[in-house]
Parts: sequence; C-alpha cells; structure tokens
Amino acid sequence: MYLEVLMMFLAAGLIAAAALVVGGLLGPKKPGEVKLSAYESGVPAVGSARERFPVHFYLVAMVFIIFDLETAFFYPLAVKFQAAPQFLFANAVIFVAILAVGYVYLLRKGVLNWK
Amino acid sequence: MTDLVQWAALAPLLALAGAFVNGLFGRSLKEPAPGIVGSVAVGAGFVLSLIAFFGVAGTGEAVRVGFGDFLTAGSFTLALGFHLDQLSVLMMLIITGVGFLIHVYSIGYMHGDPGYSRYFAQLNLFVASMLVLVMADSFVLMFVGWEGVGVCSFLLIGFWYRDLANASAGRKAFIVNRVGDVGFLLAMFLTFKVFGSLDIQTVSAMAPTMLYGSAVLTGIGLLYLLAAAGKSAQLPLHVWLPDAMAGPTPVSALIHAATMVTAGVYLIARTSAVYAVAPGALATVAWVGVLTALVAAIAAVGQTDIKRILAYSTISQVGFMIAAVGAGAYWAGIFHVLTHAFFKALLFLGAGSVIHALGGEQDVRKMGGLGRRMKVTGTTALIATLAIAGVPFLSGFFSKDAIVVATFTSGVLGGVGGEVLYALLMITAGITAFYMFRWYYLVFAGEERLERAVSDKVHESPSVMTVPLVILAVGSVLVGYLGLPAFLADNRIAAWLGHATAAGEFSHPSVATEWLLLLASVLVAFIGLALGYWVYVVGKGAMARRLGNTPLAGASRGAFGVDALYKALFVDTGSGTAEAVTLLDREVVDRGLVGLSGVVPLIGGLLRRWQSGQVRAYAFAMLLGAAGLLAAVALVGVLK
Amino acid sequence: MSFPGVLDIDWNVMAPAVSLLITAIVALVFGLSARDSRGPAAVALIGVLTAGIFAVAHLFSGNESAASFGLRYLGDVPATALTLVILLGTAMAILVSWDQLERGGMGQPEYYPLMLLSALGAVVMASAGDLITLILGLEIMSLPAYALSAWRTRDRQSEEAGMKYFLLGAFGSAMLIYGTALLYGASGSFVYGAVAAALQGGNLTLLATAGGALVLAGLGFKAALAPFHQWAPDVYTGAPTVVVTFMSVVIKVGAFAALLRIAATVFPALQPWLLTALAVIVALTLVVGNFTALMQRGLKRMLAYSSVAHAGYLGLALLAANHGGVAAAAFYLSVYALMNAGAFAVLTLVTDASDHGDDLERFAGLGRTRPGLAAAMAVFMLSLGGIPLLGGFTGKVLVFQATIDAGHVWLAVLGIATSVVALFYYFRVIAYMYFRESSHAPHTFRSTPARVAIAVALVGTVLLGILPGWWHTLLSVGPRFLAGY
Repeated sequence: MYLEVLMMFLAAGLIAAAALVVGGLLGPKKPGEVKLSAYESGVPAVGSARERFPVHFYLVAMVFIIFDLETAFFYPLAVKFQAAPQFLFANAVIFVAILAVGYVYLLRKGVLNWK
Repeated sequence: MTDLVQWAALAPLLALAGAFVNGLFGRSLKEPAPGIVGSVAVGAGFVLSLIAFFGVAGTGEAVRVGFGDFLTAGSFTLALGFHLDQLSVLMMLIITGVGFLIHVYSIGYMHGDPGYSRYFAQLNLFVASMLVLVMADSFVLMFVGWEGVGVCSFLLIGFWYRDLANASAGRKAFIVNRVGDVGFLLAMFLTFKVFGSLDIQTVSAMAPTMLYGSAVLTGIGLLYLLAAAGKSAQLPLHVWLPDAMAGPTPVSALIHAATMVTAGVYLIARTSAVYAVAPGALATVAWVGVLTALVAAIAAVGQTDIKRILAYSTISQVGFMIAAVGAGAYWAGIFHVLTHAFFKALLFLGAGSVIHALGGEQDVRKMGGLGRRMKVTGTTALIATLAIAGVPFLSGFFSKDAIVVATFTSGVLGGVGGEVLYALLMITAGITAFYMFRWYYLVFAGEERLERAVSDKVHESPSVMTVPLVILAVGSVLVGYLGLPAFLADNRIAAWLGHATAAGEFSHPSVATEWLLLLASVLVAFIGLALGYWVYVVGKGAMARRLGNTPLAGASRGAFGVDALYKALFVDTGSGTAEAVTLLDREVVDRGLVGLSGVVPLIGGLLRRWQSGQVRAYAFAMLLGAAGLLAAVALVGVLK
Repeated sequence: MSFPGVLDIDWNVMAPAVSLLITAIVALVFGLSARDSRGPAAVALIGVLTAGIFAVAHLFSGNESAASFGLRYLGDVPATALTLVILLGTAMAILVSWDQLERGGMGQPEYYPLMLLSALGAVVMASAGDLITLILGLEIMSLPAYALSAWRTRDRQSEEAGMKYFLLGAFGSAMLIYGTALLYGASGSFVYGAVAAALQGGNLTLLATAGGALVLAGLGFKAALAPFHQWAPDVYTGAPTVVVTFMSVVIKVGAFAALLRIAATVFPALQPWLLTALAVIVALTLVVGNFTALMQRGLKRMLAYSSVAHAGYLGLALLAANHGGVAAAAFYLSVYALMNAGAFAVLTLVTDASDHGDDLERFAGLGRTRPGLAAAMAVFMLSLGGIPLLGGFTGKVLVFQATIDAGHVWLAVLGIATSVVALFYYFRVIAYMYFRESSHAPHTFRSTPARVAIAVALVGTVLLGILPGWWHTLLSVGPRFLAGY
C-alpha cells in the first residue's frame, strides 16, 4: 500500500544523486580565488556571524509571520466557503478583528517605528 | 433521658471554645482569667459527661448523636457522629474530671509564665481532641481526635521551646507517633476493605460473622496494635515518653499519664469485637504489654530524675493495661486506666508541687525529707505511692489484681502462655512496689540532701494546687471499689463495660484459687516495699555508720552485710540491669528510630543529586522515561 | 464536503472560554494607556468573575450533556467544575499579583492578558473532547506561561526558568503530538470516544498503546509526574512567586483535567500494561516528590516538590478514573487549588520584593509578629499534609478510597505511607513559625488583595474539610463522563 511512497522517496534520492554526479562529471573546472571563497548570500565573509542584531529585527520578522499566516488561513477558507457561508464569514471577521487588535497594539507599542 | 445525653456532644465544643477564647483573646486577659476560662470549659464538660453517664446508666442503651452524612463516594458513606455508650462516657468522665483538676492546678503551677494563655489554649484544645477521640463513632472521626491529641502533645512538650532539648523532645514524640499513625491509617483502610464501613458499631456488629482467625483480621489487629503502641508508648515505640517529660508537669500528668497515653488501650477495647475474632493479634497485644511493663519497670529503678521515674512507671503501667486488653479482659484494662488516671496524675502533680517548691530541681538525689515540710504534698504522694504499689484496699490493688488474674485465667493466651505472662506481671508488680518506695523515700522521707540555696525557699504549694491533690488522693483510695473481685462482691465496672466490649474467654478457677491469687498479689506488693525499705532505710543506716568510720563499723559490716549486698545487688547488678535496659533503650531502640529518620534524608539526598539543574539532563530524563514506556510497548509486542 | 458537527455551538458551554478571551483582549488594549498594572488587574478580575458566573450558571443548569463542535468541546460536570477551579486559581493569582507586581518592578501591562490566555488554554484542555482541541489548549496554556516565568526580566534565575520551561515544554509538547499522531494512525479519529470505539477488537492496539504512552508522557510533563517532573522545582524556584501561584494551580489542573478524561476513555481501550506503567510512574512520583521535599530549606522549592507529590496523589485517581476517581480528583484539585495558592500567597508576603529570602528562617517567629498570617499558613500546611477536618484530608480519603475500589491496594498503602512522610516537611514550617525566635523582626509586606485571596483560600480549605459533601455530590452527579461517543 505504501509502496508508492517508498518509490517516490527512491526517485527523489536518485534524481538528487544524479544531478550531483552528472554535474561533477560534465561541469568545467576553472578554480579561482573568488570561486573558492565561502559564499554567504552575496556578502563577503568578513568577521564573525555571531554578531548582535537589533532585537527590532526579530520583532518585525514576527509581525510579518503573523500577518503572513493570516493570509495562509484565508486560502482554505476561500476554498470551502460555500459549505457554510455565514459561519465561515463570521469566523473570518472574528479572526481579522483579533488580529486588528494586535495591529493596534503593536502600533501603540511603536514596534513599526524604526529609529 | 436520651435527649439529655445528647447534650454531652457539646463537651468537646466547650473545650474548643475555651481554646479559641484563650488563643485569640488570651493575651489581653489578666493572669488568672485564661486559667479560669480553661477550667470552666472543662468543668462544664465534666457536668455534661456526668449527665451522659447517668443517662446511659438509666437506660442501659447507647446513644448516638449524628451530624449527618459527611461524605458519600460510590460504595462509601461516611456519617459523622458521637457514640455515647458505657465505654465512652466512662472515658469522658476520666478526661474531663481529671482534666478539670489539672486545669485548676495549672492556674497555680503556671503562675507568671509568659505563655500563660497559650498554655491553657493548648490544654483546652487537647481536651477537646481527646473527647473527640473517645466519643467518635467512626474510625475517621477517631483519627481526627487521634491526630489532634498528637499535635497538642507535640505543642505542649515543646511548650518551653526556647530550650532546644524541649523542642527536640517534642519532635521525637512527633516522629515516633507518626510510625503509629501509619499503623492506624493502614488499619483503617484495611478495615474498610474488609468490612466496607468505617463505622465502629457496624464493624463491631459484622466482626463475629467474619472468618475466625483469618490473616487479614489478624493484620488489622496488629496494625491497630502498632497505632496503640505509638500513642501509648509501648515497646518498641516507647522511647518518646521519657523525653516528653520536658513539658510542663501538669501536661505530663494529663497527657502523658492520665489520658492520651491510654488512648491505645481505649482503641483496642473499642475494637474488641475485631480482636475477638483475631486471637493471634490479641495474644500479641498481651505479650507486648507484659514485656513493656517489665522492661519499663526495671528501667524506672535506675532513674534519678523525679519525673523520669514516673515516666517509666507510666510506660510500665500502660503495659499492664495493654496486657489486660490483650488477655481479653477489656474491662480490667479500662479499670486500670481509671485508677491509674487518679494515682498517676496525683504522683505527677505531687512531683510538680515539689519541683515548684524547689525552684526547678528534678534530681531525687538532691531531695529528701520533703514530706516533713510539705505536708499535703507528702501525704497525698504517699497515698498514691501505696496505690500504685498495689497495697490492699487502695485502688491500684484492685485493678492490678484484676489484670494479673485475667492473664492467669485467659483462654486466649494458651495454657502455658498465660501462666508465663502471669509470672512476669507478678515480678513487674514487685519491682513496681520497689521503685515507688525508692521514689517516695528519696523525695519525701529520709535525710534532707537539699542544696542550701534551695533549702530556704521550700514551701508548701498554694491551695489552688493542693486542693486538686487532695481530691485525687480521695479518688485514688475509692475508685478501686468499683471493681472488686467478682468472687467477693458485684464487680460493677466489669458489668458496666460488658455492654460496650466483646466478652473475653476465661476459665473460672475455684474460690480457693481466687483467694490464693489475691494473696499472692498482696504478698508481691509487700515484698517489693519491704525490699525497698531494706535497701534504702536499713542499708542507708549501715552505710552511714561505715562512713562515720566508728569502731562498730567492721562488726556491723560483718553482722549485717547489707552494704555489700546493697552494692552487689543494687548498685552493681540492679542498677547495672537498669543501666543496661536504659542503655539498650537509648542506644538501640532510640538510635534505631533516629537512624530511621537518618535513612529518610539519605534517600532525599540521592534524589536531590538527580536534580542537577541542567536542561539537557532533564530532557534526557524525560527521554528515558518516554523511551522506557515505548520500550515496554515494543517488549509487549514482541512477547505477543 | 460537510463539517460534521462543527457548526453546532452551545454558547453556554463556550461562554467561560469566550469571556476569558474577550477580557484578555480588552485588558491588553486597556493596558496600553493604564498608568500601572492595577487597572488591567481589575479588568482581568472582572473577566474571570464573569467567566465564573457563566460556568456556575451552566453547572447548575443541569444540562450535563451539552457540547460544542460535535463533542470536541464538552460542557459536562467535570469540565465545568474544573473550569471553575481554574478560574478560582486565576482569580487568586490575580489578587496575589495585584500589589506584588508593582512592588517587584514587574508591572508591564501584558502580565494579566497573558495570564488570562494561559487560563483560557487550561479551560480548553479541561473541556477538550478530542486530541486536536487538547493540543490547542495545551499550547494556548503553555506559551504565555513560558513568558510569565521569565517575567522578572532583569533576574537571571527568572530568565533561566523561562528558558528551561520553554525548552523542556517544547519537548513535552512534541511527545504529546507524536502520541496523538500514533493514536490517530491506529484509530482514524481524534475524538476520544471514537478512538476508544475504533480500537475495540482492532489489531492496532499496540500502535495505539505506544501513542497512549507518548500522550501520557507529554501530559505527565505538564502535570509534573516523575520522571517528567524535573523542570518543576527549577522553574518554581526561578519564576516570580506570583507566577508560580498561578502555574502551580492552573497548569496542574489543566493537565490533570485532560489526563483524567483520557484515562477514563482512551486508556481502557489500550493494552492494560499501560495502566501498570502509569502505576509505576505514580509510585515513583509519590516517593520522589515527598522525599525530595523533605530535604529542602527553601520554602518555594519545598512547595515545588510538594506539588510534585500532590501530582502523585492525583495520579492515584487517574488509575481509578472509572471507579469514582474523576470526582475524587476533581475534589482534590479544588482543595489543592485553594490550599496551594493560599500557601504561595503567604509566601509572597513574607519574602523580599525580589522573591529572595524564602528560607525557613524567614518564617521564624511569624507566629508572634503576624499571628493571622501564621495561622493561615499553619492551616494550609496542615491541609497539604492531610490532617483531618481540613480539605486536604478529605481529598486524600476520596482518592485513596477510589484507588482501593479500583484494586490498587499497594498503591494506596504507598500513598498513605508517603503522606505520613509529607507531614514532616509541612510541620517543619509550623515549627519554625511557632517554635523559633527570629534574631530580626521578619519584615513582611502588607497587601489587602493578597489578604482577600488568603481569606478565600482559608475559608475554602476549612469548608471543604468540614462540609465536603455538597461539592463532592455535585461532582459525582451527571453521566459518568461525557466522552464523545
């Protein structure tokens, strides 16, 4: 019954392995100083990565995730909306209202003011 | 009449009210007031107990005062109430009667103590708890009283808590009593498991229908015995009582002589129906009682503290009571509770009067001749001494005789067993007479060995203290006539308590044998007293002459030889034995219990080491726990 | 596509949870403009009382089989009664925090909203009729609690407590979720009753039992059952005492409410050895909690281990869930909430503003300097120790009785024996208060709201000790358990 799943795992592994092997065999090899350096998102690797980031950074990231999830929540709601329109609409309104309170709260707290 | 009897339910409430008044407002009351409040609360309880007594006597019927259902849980219904029958009203009379006298005495004894009102609050609380203990109609309510008296005892032993030794004595009593409490709780749950009820009357009614001598009934009996041994200071849990003398002397008189330590006797008498079908447990009870009586009596000989002698004596006397109930003579045990309450309370209050007069001195070697300067205390103490020694026509004689005869004729103990116990008890009775003579002689008679500074201050105690002594002395003479030997006259107390306890099995020896046993009891008492006289009065004279180094000394040494005998028998052997017993007591039993309390921290220490404070260690422990559960799943799966 | 049962909402059942949620939001907004934390405290207290009124109204409406979302959110007697206990504990914690937050410099306005949300989570756990609702409740309860235990932000111990609690809590949650997945895999359902029904006669009970074991481990973490208890003493010691007052009551009630329901419904359908394993866990908890408590000098830590020990006694009731154990545990939890919160409330008044100074020495001589406080503490200690005529004793009697009824006599014996050990450490507090002189006058803090909390706890403890019948009867009425069949 789960054979398909197993086969999918195998196929995924094979494709990944094949890509590496084929790339390694066929690709041209012209090493240079820049190419051999560690690649960190386009930023030159200078100093330690264990720097202190402003805590504000995390706050903004958290706020982003929360409102991102709001969108994620609306997708299934939209798909199944016809099953119980009033109920789901009320649901969505309550959900947005709670998030709105959160939004007011973080505005008042000055989370979005980047000094 | 039944309506009137029900008023007795107020007795513990009155004592409780007294405790509340003294506890909450005591500090703003001037000195005698808390004492009067306390005494009146208990005195009123005595009046109510009297009413209940005559009520029960009039109808011969027990009265139940119910407070409704406390708890219903599935198959389990617990009603709270008081059961007033012949046994409980008698105990109420003892508690409130002797308690009242001791409260009055305390007004004088505790004079000027900074904790005056606290003292009476705790003493009243004790009386309330003790009344609940004896009046309870279920084991649960009895346990309420049982714990209550334990807490009060703990508080009162450590009453002068600024002295570290007193506080640790209180703790010792507490720890040892816990061991007994485990017995009580386990017995209670086993009782519920077997009988499906915790109502004492229901259990008593069902007990005869149970399988005679079955293991579970014996188990219940042994567990109740463990509880009784803890509370009543029986082997091997007796070690707390001598130390408990650290409390104020009236407390020793009330709690550690007259009432609380007899709770174990009461418990066994109350559950007599269960013991009636558990003969093995009953015989064990008898053996525990007899051995305790003997060991404690020997130990009493070697003591020098005026109160510690009495403490060992109390252990020994309670041993007699336990032996009596173990022989199935429940009435004799309770009878001895009654007489002992009078003469032992009297002895303690007398000792308190002496300590009071001497400004705190408790060493009998630094006393002597006090009877000449404290007439009332001396005379009443003499009566009590003779009563406990078993001199005929005083109360102690009748109750002790009833006990030894009961062990001789008991059907529970088996042929030889009963006779061995009888012999041991007779020896104990002789030793009792001996050490009580020693006690009295060293304190009240003979030459004065007081320190000069103390000697000038010696005075008779105020009348608030001596009047209770006189009343107790009268009681010590008279109460014995309630229980004359059955072949001489009507034994009122046996008939009275027969309504409330199971009947023991006894053989009925001929009247001639009865007379013989009676005479043996008389003889033993006098032998003990005579031995004491010989050693302390005669011997002391010889020794004095030798010390005087007169020319007659050698002749007298040869002629009397008392010196050597005294030395060999009592200084070496006698006190040697006493010392050995005390040593055994202190080193083995005491240490053992302390060791037990040492094991507890050890386990705790090991567990504490486990608590390292590191998250990864905790996570690992959780992982191990979950893995253990899952491993068990896998194991079960494989085994299938 | 339909939503089976999802649309049926009984607002009577939901009202307590909804009021808590609304109050939390209101308190949060209100806190933005409030001058100190007392305003939000008042809002929170009103909200809790409102929720309590709804819960009482529902409890006495006699509608024991009410439920929402197709038996996923239940309003039966145990759920409503335990909701009340949670609300009671929350109200006490609010009263205790009232003056302490300002005193300790912890007056950030988010405190009360977080507390209300955590309480909401506990209520959801108590009412959960299926495993998903349970997980939701658990997380709603736990996340604010992690934040609250690190509430004293400048204190390293408090930070450590929060971190430890969070890390181990995540571990515990993971176990619960994994167990839920296995149970679902074996039965194809999340609703307790349906899980049990599906497993009857099935051949997947081994898988389901593994799931049950993991659920037990995950909830055992929150309930502080050994060997999942080790976070409790450290977190209790580090977290602010006012927060511990809340946690020691509300989180324990929430966890046991969920455990009880699962033990009564799902566990009987699993392989019986799981109950044996639970018995071992309970025995271990009894021994570890009581004996370690014996060794503590700090009162806060002692109470932490004592709460582990009480988890053991409640664990006994789990084993007897279908023999009156549910009513016994609910009763025990009611008393526990009162006496434990009371003891912590006294503790907050005796220790420093920084929560330091909880050593027993601090209690020396309290009997004379603060007789009322000392008397209350004595009653709480006696009740925790199980002295008769106080609630703690009645609770123990009920639990032991249920345990014996269920046939676990040896566990009852162990419980009795360890409860005797427990008296030592409770009595030590009393001995210090009354038998010790302190060299310095103990400086104590005075707070009227805290005094009200102590008074409520005192009255409740004594009342449930003397007149336990009415409450226990109430807990025993109704269907055995609404399990979601």
